[in-house]
Amino acid sequence: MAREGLTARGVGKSFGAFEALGGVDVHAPEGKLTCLLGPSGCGKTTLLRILAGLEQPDRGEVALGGRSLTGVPASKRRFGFVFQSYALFPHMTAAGNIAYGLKGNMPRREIGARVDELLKLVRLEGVRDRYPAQLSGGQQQRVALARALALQPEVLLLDEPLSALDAKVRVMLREELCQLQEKLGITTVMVTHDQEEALTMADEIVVMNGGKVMQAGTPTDIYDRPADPFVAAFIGAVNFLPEWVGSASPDSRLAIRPEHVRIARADDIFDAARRELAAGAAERQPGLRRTAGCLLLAGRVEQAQFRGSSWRISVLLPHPSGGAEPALIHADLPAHEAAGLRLERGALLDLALPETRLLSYPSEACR
Amino acid sequence: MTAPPSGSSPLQPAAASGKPPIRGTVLAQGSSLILLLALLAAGLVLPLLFMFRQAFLSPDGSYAGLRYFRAYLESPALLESLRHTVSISVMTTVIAVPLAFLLAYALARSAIRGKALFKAIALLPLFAPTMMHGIGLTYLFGNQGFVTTGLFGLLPFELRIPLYGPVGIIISEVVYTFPQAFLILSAALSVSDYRLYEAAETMGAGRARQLLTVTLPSVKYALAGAVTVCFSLSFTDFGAPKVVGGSYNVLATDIFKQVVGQQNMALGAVVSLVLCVPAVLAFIVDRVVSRKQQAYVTSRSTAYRIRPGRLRDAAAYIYACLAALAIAALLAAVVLASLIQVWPYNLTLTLSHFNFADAAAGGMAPFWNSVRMSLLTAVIGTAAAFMAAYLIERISLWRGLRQAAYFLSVLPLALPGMVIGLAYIFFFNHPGNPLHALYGTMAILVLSGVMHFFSVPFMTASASLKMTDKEFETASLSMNAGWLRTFLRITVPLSLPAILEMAVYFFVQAMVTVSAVIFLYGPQLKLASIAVVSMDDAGDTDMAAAMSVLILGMNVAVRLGYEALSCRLRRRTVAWRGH
Repeated sequence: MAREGLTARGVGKSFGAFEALGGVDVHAPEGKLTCLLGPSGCGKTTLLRILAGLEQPDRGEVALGGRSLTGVPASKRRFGFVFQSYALFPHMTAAGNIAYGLKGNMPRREIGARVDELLKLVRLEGVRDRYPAQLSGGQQQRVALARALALQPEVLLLDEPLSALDAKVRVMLREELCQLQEKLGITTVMVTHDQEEALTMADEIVVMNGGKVMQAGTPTDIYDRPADPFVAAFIGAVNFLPEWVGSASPDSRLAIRPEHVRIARADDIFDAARRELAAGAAERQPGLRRTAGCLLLAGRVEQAQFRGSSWRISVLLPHPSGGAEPALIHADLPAHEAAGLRLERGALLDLALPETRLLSYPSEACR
Repeated sequence: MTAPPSGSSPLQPAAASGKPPIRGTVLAQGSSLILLLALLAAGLVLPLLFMFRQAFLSPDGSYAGLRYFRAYLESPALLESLRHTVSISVMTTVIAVPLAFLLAYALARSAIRGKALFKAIALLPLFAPTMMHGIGLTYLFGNQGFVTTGLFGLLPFELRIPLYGPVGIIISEVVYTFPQAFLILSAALSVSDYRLYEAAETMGAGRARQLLTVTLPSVKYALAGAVTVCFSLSFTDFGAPKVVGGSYNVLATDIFKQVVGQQNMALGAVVSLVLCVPAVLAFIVDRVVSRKQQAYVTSRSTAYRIRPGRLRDAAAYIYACLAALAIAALLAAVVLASLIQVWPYNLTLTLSHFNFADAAAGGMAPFWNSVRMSLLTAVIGTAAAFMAAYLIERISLWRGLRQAAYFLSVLPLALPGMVIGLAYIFFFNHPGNPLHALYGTMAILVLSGVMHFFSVPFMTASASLKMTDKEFETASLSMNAGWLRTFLRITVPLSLPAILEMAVYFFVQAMVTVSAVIFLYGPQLKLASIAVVSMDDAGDTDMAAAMSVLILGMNVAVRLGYEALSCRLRRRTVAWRGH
């Protein structure tokens, strides 16, 4: 069945003994921004280069709108490609770089107008005749983008386009890039190792590790329901709870993100639960006291770090029978909620883990 | 290495013994710098000034104004030589640069085997005196040449080219300049940025467009460098026109005739100034080029990836074979001729040509003189060039003087050997000069060699010093080791590969040079390269061939010894060099 957008089916690639891609299936929906996200060496850049035709896959195929691209060289695919650190031609001006792909594809007289249009699109009218060495990092990035868009490609491929920029410019260009992508409605695939970049920019995220696709879905899907422990840990932070914190079956382990851990205090909704705890009325099974849809745990403050808008509190949970190492669990607490708490080392705290926020994974996957 | 004495506090020595060593260091560094400037003054500045002055003096010593310049411009013979020289240089450049570019490109951008061998053969002419190319040509294309006579009569036809004259000179100069252009272009092609090729490809550029818009712009400065080097080398060469020029006069042979033949010093000086023009231009281009070339690659660049391409590889292989074959055949002809009774009539093997007893030169003495002179040039030149680079790169005294020393250290690039030789005559042969005693001795030959070939080793040393971290020296000094000790125990060992390379360069250049020393050798101090010229002049071509072969053999042996040594050095130091 022909799907709209760009599709990779069973793509595998090895470099000598190293398997960079072990047969991956990826779909980038038409007109959307898809992020390939993963740690370095996960094969995301190799996959992008295969999509561009700069690298030939050992097996599998790439198709655009159901039409196979096997055997179509990079120069004939007419995809826009923005290289990591841009690869602008150092001996050509900004306008020269942008016009490069247009020459031979467009009447000579129209090229100038098209270049101006593109420079306007990326808001760089003033640097038309400057050389790359005379441009700032952000300007170079935009020239590279304009150059990639010059031929009105069906697909735009971006290889870590923002990684060479400093933090402020990066955030600004992130928004610009998203707006531009939306405005042009161009099918876009972007490689990044920055989870924040992926979450804020992407319509679809493909998380990769070790040459495999771990999970694909929308940013909220991936953040709220990470399919496995790797994805959970790679995107955002996650606590893997000790095995003795009860779960439904002995083969699975629970996990929770730090911002979902609540601190139980006398004056909040968990007050009832606390009193119950004190009275010893709750279930006796260690770590599995439940009340008001929460798992309740008690521990001592190990460390509290102020992070501006929030506190990260590390709590040491002693093993109920003292048989194993105590486990450390992190909780992120908004600064205003932390205001009345005693957070010095050793202070006792009760933690409440809302059951709706608990994640469960097979225990062998968590090692 | 040297650890600080145990128990001493790192803070203590500075207060206790910091002052006297620093004053000593300043004294030692200052006097070294002055010594270097004195050497550059005596070996370069004063001789050049004397030569410049000579152009304005009549034989009796009175001021002649521009009379000799006018005489030059009014002499049809001399102007004809200038025209000859320009056309030789233009033709040489037009032929040598594309040939060298093709080979450099074939070796850099294809996946053929035997690249190291092709490269070695391409560089072989560097190790031979330029007369040897001319002699080789006479054995192949001369009246009794191997090719001329249809492979000694094996073929039913003859293949005559008008060798003696411009054709022979141009072929010799092409062989002579080819390796130089090849080296420059290979270096430039090896540092390209592969991302640019990929960027061009994603924008739909084909192979031809990539060559025009990515490859050529990235080597354009190197191309300019290769053009000027080829032009100025062939403009000033003396050896090849001497051997195959016949009656076709060029500037370099003119100077020789004016000065040695007619004792017309002033006119010789004027011709020398003309000779300097392209070299000075080449010098300026080289300065600009070396500054601009660096900007082309950055730390983010990726190395060129050679993709499979059978047709391309086949073409590259055929071309590399042809180029190597041409060079090898030329040199092999000389080697063969030196081992054969009478080319082409009696082809039995003999070593009699290597018995130079009956030649005008007299035995093996010139060869050993050359070896001695080259060794001395290598040792003294390397020490001087390395010291110069060190003093200019590393110390912080007298900025102005160091800049002057830098300029003088790279200036010899712009000076043809003939000019240096002539300038030395005017300066050292001047009766009022206290250094007059040097004239005709080994010392002046060595000094001319050191100065003539100073710039390239100097730049090698500078580059090496720039790459080694200054912190090592600071660390050594902070451990209270003296400046000299730091220099000998830290700086020199870290630069050892560069130092070896410099010494080999000096040695090889001194073995093959003829242009400067032809004015300077004493009656008892003939050199091998000069013996080649005089034996060829006297018609003893076979002996001239034999002597050339000895020079080539010596240079190749020294080079191989260097390769073996630096290979061992690399293996021994790989642990701390880290690659």
